[in-house]
Parts: sequence; C-alpha cells; structure tokens
Amino acid sequence: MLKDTLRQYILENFLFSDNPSDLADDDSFMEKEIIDSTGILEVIEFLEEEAGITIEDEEMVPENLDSVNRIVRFVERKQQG
Amino acid sequence: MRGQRLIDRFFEAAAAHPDRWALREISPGGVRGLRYRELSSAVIRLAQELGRRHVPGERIGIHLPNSLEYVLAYYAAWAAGLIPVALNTQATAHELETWIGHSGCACLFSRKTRDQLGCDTPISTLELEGPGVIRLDGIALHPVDQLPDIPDEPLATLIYTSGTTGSPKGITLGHDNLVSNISGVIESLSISPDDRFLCVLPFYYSFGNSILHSHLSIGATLVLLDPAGYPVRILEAIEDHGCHGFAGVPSLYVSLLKKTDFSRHDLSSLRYLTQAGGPLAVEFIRDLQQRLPGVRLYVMYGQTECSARIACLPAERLDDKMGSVGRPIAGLEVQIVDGKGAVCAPGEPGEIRVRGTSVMRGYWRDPQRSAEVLREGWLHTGDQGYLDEDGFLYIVGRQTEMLKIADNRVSPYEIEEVILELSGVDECAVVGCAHELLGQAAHAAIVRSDPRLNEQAVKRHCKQNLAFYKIPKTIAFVDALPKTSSGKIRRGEIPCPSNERNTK
Repeated sequence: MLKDTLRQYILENFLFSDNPSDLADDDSFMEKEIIDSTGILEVIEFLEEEAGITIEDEEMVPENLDSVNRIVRFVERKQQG
Repeated sequence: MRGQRLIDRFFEAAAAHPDRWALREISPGGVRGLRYRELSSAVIRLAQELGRRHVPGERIGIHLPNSLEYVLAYYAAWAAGLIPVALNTQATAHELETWIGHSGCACLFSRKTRDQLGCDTPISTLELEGPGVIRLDGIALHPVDQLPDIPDEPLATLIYTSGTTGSPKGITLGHDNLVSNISGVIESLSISPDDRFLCVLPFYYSFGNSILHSHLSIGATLVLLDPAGYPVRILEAIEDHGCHGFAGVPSLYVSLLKKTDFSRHDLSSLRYLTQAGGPLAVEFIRDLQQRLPGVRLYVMYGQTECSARIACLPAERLDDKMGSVGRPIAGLEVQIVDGKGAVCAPGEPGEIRVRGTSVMRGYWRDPQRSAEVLREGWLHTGDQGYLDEDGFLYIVGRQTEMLKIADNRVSPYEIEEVILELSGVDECAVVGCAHELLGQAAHAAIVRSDPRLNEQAVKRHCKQNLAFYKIPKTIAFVDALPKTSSGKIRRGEIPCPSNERNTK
C-alpha cells in the first residue's frame, strides 16, 4: 500500500505525470535525475508523515532511499523492527 | 605577494608543500586525491596541451562537478592564459547553450556528450587515472617538467549568475580582482597552509570558487564532497578526514541542524565554520553555537560582482553584533547611500555600495547593464542595509526581485519566460514563497486562456526547460494579475498559497 502512495507521490510531485509507466520501481532517483538533493529531504518528510516513522540521520543514505523498491524495503524493515 | 596572480601563488605553494594533499575527493567509489606536486605537474602538462590548441584570452567552459578534474581544468586554463568559465552543472541544455554562446567558449570540459548536452560546442573529456596518467580526449599527455611561461591575460574568469534566459549576465573578473578578494578572505578567516577544509558548495558559484582559491593559493588541503541531499555525510567527512573548517549556506546549516545528530560524531577537529549566501536565522546560529561549543562561526556577506566576499563578521564579535554581516574585508570600502546618492548617517538604511580592487570589470559584453551598477567609481549592490556606529554592516533587504531557492539565486523572469512559452498561458508572474526546507520556493500565478491547461502540464513543461529547483512548487490560476497604473506587475500583492507569507 505504501508502494502505491509513494509511487503516486513521486509521479505527481517530481515527474508531474499520471502515467505509471514513467516510473519503474528500481529507477535510481539520482541517476535518472528524478529527484535532486533538495527533493530527497521532501521525500523524507513525506515518508515520516505517511508511514509514521522517524528516519535517523544514519539511515539517510541512498541504499535506503534511492528508488521506490529501496524505500519500501527500508520502511518495511523499520516497521518490523 | 599582493599583485601576483592566484596561479603563480598556487605554483609557489606547490613548491613549498609538495607532499601535502591539495585535494581529497570523496565519492561513492572511495577517496581519490592529489598531492601538491602531483596537481601542479598535472596542471603544467594539461596547460601545455591547451596552449597548443588555444590562443590566450579564449574562454574555456568547465561543466564538471567539484572534482579533481574540475580543479585541474581550471588551473591549467589559467596556466595557459585562458579564461575558465565554470557552468552550473544543474543547468538545462537551453541555459548552457545560452551561456556558452554568450561567452563564446571555444570548448567545454564535461563528462556528458554533445548529444546529452544538446549543444554544438566541442566537448573535451578529461580523465585522471591516478596522479600519473591524464587523458585528454582519450589521449595520454606526456609529462612536462618545466613550468610554463604564463601568458599575460588580465581576465581571470566569467561567472554566470541567474538572469533572464534572454539576457545572460556574465560577471567578468580580472586576476587582480580575485587576488585582492582571496587575500582579504584569507586574512579575515586566518586560513593557514595547515588547514584541512571540507567543501560541499559548488565551485561554479562565487562562494565555492572563493573557497577553492583561498585554500589552493596557500597550500592548504581541500576535501571535496557532494552530500547529494544526505547531510549526515558532511559530519562523517569532517570526522573521517579530521577537517578544521567547513562552509555552508543557510539551507545547508538548517538541514544539518534538523536532520543530523551532532553528538554521534567526533567533530573535535573542527575549528571554524563560515556562513554566507543569505541570513541564517538567529535561532539556528544559537543552536550551532550550543551544539558546537568552541567552534568559531564567521558570518559573511558577498556578491559575485565583488569577486565573492564583501564583509565578514569576526567570530569573537558574533554575540555582541548578532544580525550583522561584519566589516568590509581588506581592500574594500562600503558606503550606504540614499536615493539621491547622499551618504547615510550610521543606523540609517539605504543602498549598499562598494569600491575597491575586488570589484568586477563589468558584465561580459553588456556595457549598458555594467553602467547601471558601476557608477561614480562604486559598485551599487542593489541590497539595502545600514552601518552601525562601529562600522558593522547590517542587511535589511534586497532591492532586486530575485528569489533564493535552496540558496540558488533565481530570477522570477526566467521562470516566467518558460511558462509563457506554453500555449494557453496569457500572463504569468512568479514570486518566492516561504518553504521550510528550501528557504523559498517559486510560486506562479497564471492567467490562462485555455481552461484545459492544468498544474501538471505547467510543471512538466518547466521540468523540461528549467533546473529542478526552479520549478514552481505551487501554481494558482487567477483571473487577473495585480498591476500598477503603468501596467507593471505588483509582485508584492500576489498571495502565496495556504496563507503562507509572501517573502518577496
């Protein structure tokens, strides 16, 4: 469910598109120039609000946040832990 | 020493500190570095080849992120008597093309291809495979021992700041301008050759440019990092590399304070911080002081037209002169004048004007615009401020309508021009609205002739034609724009969405 909301959020706010095929779940936000460095902070705010989690500073790394799939896995890990 | 070029000072520093690190570049793949003797030998090697290909005074575009290659290309251009023009790596193809055309760059150093950039200028690729192997356009350069005889070219660089796309603004600086300003900065901050400084600010803006030269001209070490939106990396880099100094703009400090936990890192090497690029709210300054006790914080003020820095508030005066940007740096004089050009009394606000050797030659190939700001021997900054009884400068506002988004200066006209290209748009006005993370974000008020035109279509068009941070975060479709009797748009009356304060 988070995946759908997140995809919707990225499409709407960073790709300005309602075509789901514009965003693949493994697309790197940085490499594909989907989100710039200021945008990442906005994504973090969105996740904190949407998933009710707090993202610690050491968790703010591309391994956790640089694609839809990475974020979903990261949030799931956090919610389970 | 005063009067020499920065490139001469760099070679002197390299001869004095051959084994010291000049640059350490942190990237996802690890850390690369060049010692002073390696960098200076690479600079000489590349300069000789550039000297074969170009004539002194030609402009060379540098479209590279902060990296070993950037510094190599820049200093080699200087050593060959060429004029390096650093170009914003976040810019769109359209912006790049405008600047390249305007400055008349003979070639462009870039990691992208001509197709990717969409421009006609020849692209040169520069590869550093370890300190010993430099490839220019795929061909390895032979080592050269001799220091080149540097041609006597008076101009040092052009820096493009945001202007409307139709009329680019190339701030033209001479070697004398930079030497004077960099000397003043080194003195104000007491930078020493033993310093290790973490630089995350892009070299293509004057703040980053100033950091680069103020360290390499005296033999200090620069650690380069692109935190790419992850502020914790800054703290890690300070810790891992034992950095003594760090420079930031307000949004960077705010994200560090809000998104990182200083107590998890050993920051004991840190001795000083500098801050410029707009005001950092007093609450954040206090917060920094509290979290980093004993670390000196220098607040600075500057303008690219003045090479970089105009004033600096000494760290020991931060508490009793809170809110001030300090006193003019060495070699500069600051005055406040009223609308008629009369000098204001202490405490009385007016326009800030500056004179001294750091002041630019003018705007590249734009005598009219140059004459508008360079009058009666002074640079008129367009900023409003006052001097107190002790000669400390306070900024009260900016005359121009520029927005400041994540510390990038953005012209509202540039965004308006792009939006006006869309069919279905009759009129458009862009203003800056307060944004928690970015400081300001663009907001566009649009009068549309085609009711089918929606927010998404406007933003998508902006994404294709503007750097990311310039895309309006919010859009309002309105029936009419507020105007003066002469038809000029009253930007101050355009409301920001959801009752946020219009910061312009």
